[in-house]
Amino acid sequence: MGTAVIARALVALALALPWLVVAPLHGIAAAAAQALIVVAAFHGAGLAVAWLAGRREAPPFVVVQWGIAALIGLSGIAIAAGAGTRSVQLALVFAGAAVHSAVLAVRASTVVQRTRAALSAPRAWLVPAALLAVLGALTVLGAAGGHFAQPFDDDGHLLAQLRRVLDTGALADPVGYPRRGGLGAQVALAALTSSPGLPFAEVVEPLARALALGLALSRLRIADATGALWAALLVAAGFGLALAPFDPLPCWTAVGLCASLYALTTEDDPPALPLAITAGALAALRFELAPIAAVVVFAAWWRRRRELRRAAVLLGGALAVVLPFVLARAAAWRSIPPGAAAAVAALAAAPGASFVVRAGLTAAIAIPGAALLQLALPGRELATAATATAVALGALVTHLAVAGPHSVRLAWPIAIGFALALVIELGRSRRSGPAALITALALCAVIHDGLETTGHRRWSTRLAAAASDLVYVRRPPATADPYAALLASVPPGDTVAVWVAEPERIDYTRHRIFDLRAPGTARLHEHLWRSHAPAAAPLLTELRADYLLIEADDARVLRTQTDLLYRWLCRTPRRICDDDLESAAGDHPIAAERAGLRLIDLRGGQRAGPPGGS
Amino acid sequence: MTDRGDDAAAPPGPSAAVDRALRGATVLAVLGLGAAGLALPGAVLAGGVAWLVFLGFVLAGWGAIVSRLAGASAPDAGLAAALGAAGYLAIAGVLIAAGVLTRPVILALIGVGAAGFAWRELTAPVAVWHRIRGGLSFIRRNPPLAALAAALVVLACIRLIGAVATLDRNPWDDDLAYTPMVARLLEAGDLVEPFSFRRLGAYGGQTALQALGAARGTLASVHLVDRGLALGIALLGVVGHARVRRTDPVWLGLIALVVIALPETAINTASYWTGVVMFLALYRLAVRGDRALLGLVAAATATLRQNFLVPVVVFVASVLVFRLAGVARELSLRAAWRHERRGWAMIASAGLVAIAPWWIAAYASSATFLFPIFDGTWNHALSLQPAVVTWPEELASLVSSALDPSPLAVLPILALVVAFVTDPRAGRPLGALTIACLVGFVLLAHGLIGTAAPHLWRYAFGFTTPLAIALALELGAGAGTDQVELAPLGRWIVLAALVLQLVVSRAPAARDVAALFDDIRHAAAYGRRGDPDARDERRRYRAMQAAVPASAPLIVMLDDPALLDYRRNPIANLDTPGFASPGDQLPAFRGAEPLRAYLVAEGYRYAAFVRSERSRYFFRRGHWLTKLFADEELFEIMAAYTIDAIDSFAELATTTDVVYDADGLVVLDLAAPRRAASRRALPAGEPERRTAWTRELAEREQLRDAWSLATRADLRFEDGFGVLRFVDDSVDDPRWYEVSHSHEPPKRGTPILPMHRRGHLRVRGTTDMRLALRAAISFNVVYTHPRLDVSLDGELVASAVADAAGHYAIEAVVPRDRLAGGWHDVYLVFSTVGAPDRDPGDLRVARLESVEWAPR
Repeated sequence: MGTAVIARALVALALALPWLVVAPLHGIAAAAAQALIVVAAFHGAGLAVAWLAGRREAPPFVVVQWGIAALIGLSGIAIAAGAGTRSVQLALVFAGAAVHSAVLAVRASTVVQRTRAALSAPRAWLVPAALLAVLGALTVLGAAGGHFAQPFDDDGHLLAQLRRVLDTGALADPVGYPRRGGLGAQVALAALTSSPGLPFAEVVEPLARALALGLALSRLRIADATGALWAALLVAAGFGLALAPFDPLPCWTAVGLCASLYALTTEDDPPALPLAITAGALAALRFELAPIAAVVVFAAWWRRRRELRRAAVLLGGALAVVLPFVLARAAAWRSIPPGAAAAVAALAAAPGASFVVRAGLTAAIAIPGAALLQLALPGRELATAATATAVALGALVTHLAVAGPHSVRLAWPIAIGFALALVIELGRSRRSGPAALITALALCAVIHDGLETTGHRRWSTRLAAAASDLVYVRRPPATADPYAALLASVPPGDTVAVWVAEPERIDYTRHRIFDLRAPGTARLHEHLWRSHAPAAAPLLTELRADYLLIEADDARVLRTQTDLLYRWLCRTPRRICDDDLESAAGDHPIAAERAGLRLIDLRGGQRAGPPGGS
Repeated sequence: MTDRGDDAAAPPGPSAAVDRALRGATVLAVLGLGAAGLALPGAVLAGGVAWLVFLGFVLAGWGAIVSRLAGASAPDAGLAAALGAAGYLAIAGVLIAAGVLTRPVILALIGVGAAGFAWRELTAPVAVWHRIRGGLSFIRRNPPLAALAAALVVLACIRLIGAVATLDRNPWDDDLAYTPMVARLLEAGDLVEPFSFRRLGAYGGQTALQALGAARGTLASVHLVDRGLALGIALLGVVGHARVRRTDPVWLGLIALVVIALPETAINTASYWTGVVMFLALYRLAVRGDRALLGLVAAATATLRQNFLVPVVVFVASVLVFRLAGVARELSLRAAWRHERRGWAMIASAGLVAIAPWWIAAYASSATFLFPIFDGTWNHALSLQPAVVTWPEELASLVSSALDPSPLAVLPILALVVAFVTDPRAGRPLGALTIACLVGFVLLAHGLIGTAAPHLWRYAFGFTTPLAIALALELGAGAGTDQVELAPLGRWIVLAALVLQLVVSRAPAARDVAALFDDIRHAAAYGRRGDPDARDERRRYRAMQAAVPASAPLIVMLDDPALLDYRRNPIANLDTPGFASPGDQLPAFRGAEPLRAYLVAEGYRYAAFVRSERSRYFFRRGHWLTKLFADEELFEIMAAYTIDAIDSFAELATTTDVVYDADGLVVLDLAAPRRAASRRALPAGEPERRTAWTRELAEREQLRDAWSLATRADLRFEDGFGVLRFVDDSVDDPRWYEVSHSHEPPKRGTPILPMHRRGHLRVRGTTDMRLALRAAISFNVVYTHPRLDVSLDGELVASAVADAAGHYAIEAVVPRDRLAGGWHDVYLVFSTVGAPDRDPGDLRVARLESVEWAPR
């Protein structure tokens, strides 16, 4: 009787709580409601995918990952169509949440029945579930008050792109967001989660971690003590892992999608549609994850290669998610003149190698790697996952070796995704051989490393910071709007190139904005003594920029501090002391100026001065 | 349930005459150890080791008496010694309350224990020599295990000998309070210290145990009891429980090694290993179901440390409730209660009888029997809690300290596993201990919010270490109906965690062992003479005391009050000025004259103090001046009171008769003022007085900016800031490459608070307030030129962009109406610290140079 009441109450709460987001809540309650409706939307979208794939009984956390993939795909389509504004993203979230609530209402008796069964003894699952709930809630809500120390991913300023997509519905800035590292699915996901109101870009990863670990728990069969122990160990290791980047590079989002894919590959007859769209979302997230998606889709096709319809669903499903992002990227690049595209490409040029060399090197690393992993693993369930991981890591190593500087941290999601799949399979099979023992020891070592490591990666530091950040969720600090007054003087529709510290505070609806302060174009502020072809002025010309908004930067001060010759020569302003961007700005009149900001009018005639770069 | 071995029939052996002779020889040998300890008080090593071993037998003897009186089955050596300690503490409480527990009385109690040992040795079926013979036989049968056991014994012996040889004391706690309390007990027989913060914070059980070690005639071996005797008893308890539970030797060896190799967490002579001994005994008694003894040991444990009260009560309550629930499953709840209530009554009455004398003694000294629930002599105007704490901040403090355990670094991993252990035994002792540890730690963290994790964990060492020990021993226990259940994976995780713990312990243990051998070398070098420095110091103190008329009450503020003669004068120790005081309470920040008048009114005509410039540690004014602006809030407050007392006594030395002044030791006749000392006209409330006084002091000491960066009555520095430091200005700002320099920090210079991208202040005020702050961003750390926004309660107050050198100067007026309702949040937020082509390596990106918050 007691469990029945609790089960009904839980189902009712699951059905209704997400809609608290429409209530006038503030602070932590508002953040919690927003997180709940986002999860409900993922679940609802996943239920739709499951329904289409004929897998109505799929576990909720598996469905959630499918929903993430589906919503990324839908958001991608909206962005490609230039319609991915806040209202459209919000509509997607509400639609997903509506499906979630509707299905829960329609299937209430079944869901209550299942919940009752779970609540009846044995309840060993309560410990890992409570651990996940507490740690997940703390990190997710804390992240709502947190901030990126470094808001740039490899391509550009994530928060600025998020603001741009919510304002304009598109990602039409190939300068500030060239998408050389990925297709932009992370921005789409951030837009979806932020659409209900609060800026949730920082929340995506903690939320994805909770959902990925939830997926692991749901697959671990945690009703008995052994499964629950595996689960508790996994949750602790997942949160304790000494991985705390300062930037928004997607990790746990990819891990969740990988784990979902690997779970599908262990099935005898994996459903084509969820597999395809999950693979598509993974590929759209980051390029180094694309090999995993490709291997998994290929393996799924290979099993029943004679079934054309299935092959079509696999290919079509993956492309349905990836293609809109490809089209959006292509449209962005085509929106600027070829000369501008060439100038941007030249600024970001990195050494490369031919495709054949890359493929050869990847194969040379991946084949023995896959063989080794498959030999070491118990059973055949993870054969595809091992191959996919080996290929992805091989490609990444190849990239690191021949394609210039690239961070090793890109390997984290690939490695964690595989580790998660491995633990899930070991836990499910209840194996107690050497592999299980070694894995358990490794998880203990991961937890211990998180406890003992120093600095901001220390587990206690991270959790304490998350708890402290709740203060900022309760009462957010106010900040000044530095750009509105200056940009108000720019005619609507004009093109403005910006080099500012907070591009996320610009209103993207009034003007066409190109963000120059991105990793690919950072060299615009580099000062060279030697004669060289100027980069900024031609780029601005090719972009047909009407204005340049430039914020006081430390570049000159930095040079003063680090370059003796510069300090001596440039005590008084000289053109030779300007970097490319300063030089280009100096050639044109200042339209407006305030508090470290200068609005340069690029339309007028040039000021007198020495031609060319410094 | 009975312990294995002790109740077994005596093994076949030599004739009764030989048996009697060997038993007699054992007793004589033990008495000989005691005699050697007493005869050689100056011999740190030889005398100390002999006394340590002797005390072990004495406590075992007390344990034999206690278990006999309780009608319990014979305990093993470890449990017997723990019971003996509990029995001794029960008697000691009565004698302290009566004010008669002097050295002769303690020696008599030791004699009772020795007699108890002799009685047990001469009458028990299994004598000590039987065990030795059994041990030798075991060695012959199991050479590898014997080798392992021998290695562990050698390691343990090294630690025990090291504990005897270590003479270093913590000048903050031991020299100032703990050792003087032992001296007081030995000489005066009581623990009446109304001015002592340390006395207020503990019932005194640890002092009574320390007195056992010092009763041989020296206070030198301050670690003999806790790090030596108690560690030894704890290890015996581990072995004893392993024998009872038939624990696999691998598990026993591993946990024993972990315990022996634990890095030293004790920073003073308060209760650490004594806590382990008593909590382990509590656990074992719960397993045995000895409820009367459970009450006795619970009370004794609670006397060791104030923060042991909660886990003791929770443990005992959990055991009883679990038992009741277990019985209620078979019978009705009412019938179960009828069945169990006698046990509850037994525990409660035994516990009350044992602890009541300690309550009386505490009340006689500090006017409270339950600090901090009842203030007693505690400064009523003072709180150890921050002025404002929100639940997220409390949560941050809790999670941060919970995940930073020491010295058992793997406790979180063990805690994960404990949650899955099923304990089928009556009372679920392992579950009860887990709950007690959890509740004990959470309440500890709540009570001492903001305290650094290592301190919290050393307070919790006494109850968390036995949990790890019990878990390991139970998991390795032999098969049986009462075996705790855990999935095999869980056992592997625990094993892995213990191995990890050994790895973690390696480096600090190596350091500890190196230091320990140094101590042994020094102790050996002293021979039978003792520490010559201590003798000279004692002479100086005695000369100073001689200037005070015999029997005249004396209040002291000295580095080493233990060197005074507590028989000659009634002495009150001002160990932490301003924190505890009787009557109208010590007037702080009012000037020297009110202090003099208060002390005279309280009956202290004579006051002895050490001049700050000659203080060996605690009463150095410069030291406190540094702490006043650059430490945890508690120590900043403590610094203010201590400096005030130092300055007041220094002033009184110029306005009253000085009856002694040599070697920095001064005695004042407070009843004979030559002229009136200073009185300060400052605000009425003590916190406000302290704030005003601190500001005046900062201005006098040219530390105005440092003061502006410290938490005060109307402004608090919350998250986002580092600790105050001084940077020298040898490198001017356009060239500085760090927020500050990493070399030895200067004590003076430009004060700064390292600042993260976002800083949080709290302010309050009753009138229009002016906020002015100076800050600077480190270009070479962040490579940006950010704007600094200052907001109050989510509304922008001011905004500024850094100048060419990275400096900010912000000034704003906050109207009174925005400050209604107490504390308000002020955020300092840099617009960005990220640059596209750089990764920040450190989030301390800026420095705050001053914050003014004053009425407009």
